[in-house]
Amino acid sequence: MSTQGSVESELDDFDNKALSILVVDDDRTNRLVLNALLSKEGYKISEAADGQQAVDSCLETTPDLILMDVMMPVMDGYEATRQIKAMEVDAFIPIIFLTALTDDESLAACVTAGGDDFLSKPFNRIILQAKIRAMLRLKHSYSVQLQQKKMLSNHAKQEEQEQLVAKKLFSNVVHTGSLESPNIKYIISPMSIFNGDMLLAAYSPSGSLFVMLGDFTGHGLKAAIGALPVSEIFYGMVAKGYSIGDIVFEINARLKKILPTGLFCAGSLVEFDPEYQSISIWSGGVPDTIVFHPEEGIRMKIEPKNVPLGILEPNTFNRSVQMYPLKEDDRIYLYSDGVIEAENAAGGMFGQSRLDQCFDKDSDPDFLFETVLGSLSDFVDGKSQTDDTTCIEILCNASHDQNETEEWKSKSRSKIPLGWDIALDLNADALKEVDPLPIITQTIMEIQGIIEHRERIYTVLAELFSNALDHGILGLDSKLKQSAEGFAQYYTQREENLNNLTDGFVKIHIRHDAVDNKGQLTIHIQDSGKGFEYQDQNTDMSHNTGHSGRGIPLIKTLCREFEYCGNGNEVTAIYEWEYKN
Amino acid sequence: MILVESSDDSPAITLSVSGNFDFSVMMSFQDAFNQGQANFSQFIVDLDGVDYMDSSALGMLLQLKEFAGNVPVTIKTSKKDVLEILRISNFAQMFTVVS
Repeated sequence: MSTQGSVESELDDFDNKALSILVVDDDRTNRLVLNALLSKEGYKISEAADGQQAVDSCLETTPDLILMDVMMPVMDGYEATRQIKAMEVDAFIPIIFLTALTDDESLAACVTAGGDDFLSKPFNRIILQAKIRAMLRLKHSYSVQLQQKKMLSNHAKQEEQEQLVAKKLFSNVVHTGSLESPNIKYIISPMSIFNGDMLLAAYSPSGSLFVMLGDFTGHGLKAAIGALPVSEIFYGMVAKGYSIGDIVFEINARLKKILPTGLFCAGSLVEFDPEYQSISIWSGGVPDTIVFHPEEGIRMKIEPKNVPLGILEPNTFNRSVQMYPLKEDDRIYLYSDGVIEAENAAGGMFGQSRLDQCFDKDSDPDFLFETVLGSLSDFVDGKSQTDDTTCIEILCNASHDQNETEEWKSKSRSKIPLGWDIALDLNADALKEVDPLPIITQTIMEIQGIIEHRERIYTVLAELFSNALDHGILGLDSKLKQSAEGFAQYYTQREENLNNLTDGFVKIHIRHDAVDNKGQLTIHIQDSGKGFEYQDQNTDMSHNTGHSGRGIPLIKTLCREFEYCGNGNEVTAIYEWEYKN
Repeated sequence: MILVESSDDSPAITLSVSGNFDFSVMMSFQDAFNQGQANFSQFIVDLDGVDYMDSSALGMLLQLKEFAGNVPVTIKTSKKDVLEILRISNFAQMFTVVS
């Protein structure tokens, strides 16, 4: 806190404040001489005629320094010094022995008794003054140090208090939701919020389990601040039945707005749909997601396809999710890079391959999670690393608690398939301004209430609409998106072409029919582009994957019927859902 | 440690990072690219000498990209661990990565 210079200048003030010196000597003349000498220097002098008086005086008021004779009646200087040094709690009272004794042993005894310095009588005035000054300087720097130590320890205490309060506040918002479900096992540090890790889980109205693992850059409050909106958005939107794509889009937009450049949130968001026995995943910046099956071991590793949250502007953000069918008894593992990077005392890292080795297909799947944690703690062996370790296992079996779903269903709209249709025509100006997908999806949900189909319907609509706009009207080549570099180029090009668009339209027509016990959603999209040779496309779509996302093959698996018509500038897809009474 | 290289005959400025690329070098990394005021046509970040890199390093790269504006930023590395971090975070979607 203070440099050498400021200590010096403070010491000058210190001198002027009439520092007090206690003179202890049984010889009255000696006391008089010292009193006269030091009073002239500006010190405030008090006197004691023996050791006992000195001790008593110190009990009353502590002097800044003591000049102590050795041989005195009642109590000698050694004993008085021992008692005075024993009584001091905070303050440092320097004691200088003034003694007629000159033998080495007596002088050493002064120091042994607790004296700080000694001077033999008769003394040289200048030396005495110098010693007093040196001792007072030492006392001063000791008191400055003591003050700083007190401030630091107060500060630490206060910080600890604040962290506890903050933790309570945060845990109200960033709560664990449905993490205690029987099909979930997890580990996360109780103070994780200040390590930047978060783990959220909730059931959607349709009975899907949503889990989010987030890992903010940095530590402390700046990491915790981002966690608040993420948690609010996650729990709010899952409860309302929004899809993963909607949720990550919203989270990214909010984080982009509030986080300074360089801070972001790596994360993955997973939806496990027990009814369709499938998972949808969006992930960016976190290690590969592991899917384990007892008969196959690691069955699938899902790579993160995205840039972490809070980096990209909403218009370049990729909200598309990957969908995979699941098998009964599949287990999904999400984990932060803290697991991979856990260090042992020798500085080695746990690493992906050690983690992968835990997933042996012969091991008991019910203890797999414990095996992973065991292997990790064996590796770090005593080095406390669990603070940065966040990991969750989701057992993907169809049976789970349906209470929340039932409650929602009673409140939801009638799901009886109805007959209706809507049409939306967008001209060039509208295409620049409006994203019709949320509007159309929301309308379908409002009328039919088939919230469990939201993500699928959105996926079909989004793919068909972006094909019409990006390829049909803007003339972009989807091959660009197959490489990571091209991906960025694609979006730059798209923005430019869209800005320059003067002519063109996309017509979207949605019809819904009740057919037997099913609802049938017919999506027809027509664009003003010149179309393409779709005969080849209708048969072979296998190349249309990679960075261009789910592509047409996915649409075909989601829809009952799918075909291009006209010049290839029109497309019809039929999505079917079953009505269960 | 951050080493900045630029020469009159080359329009690129190269930031070579060695040792730990983490929070501890944040100040010197920022100082290094802030020197790049002149008319450079490219930033090259050479990460071949990096032993360890964490997410704050990714944050620094994002800050550099913001500073660079339209000037392209190329990340050069053949280090396996570094490439793995860049893969997971999909930074190739925003930077040119040369290995």
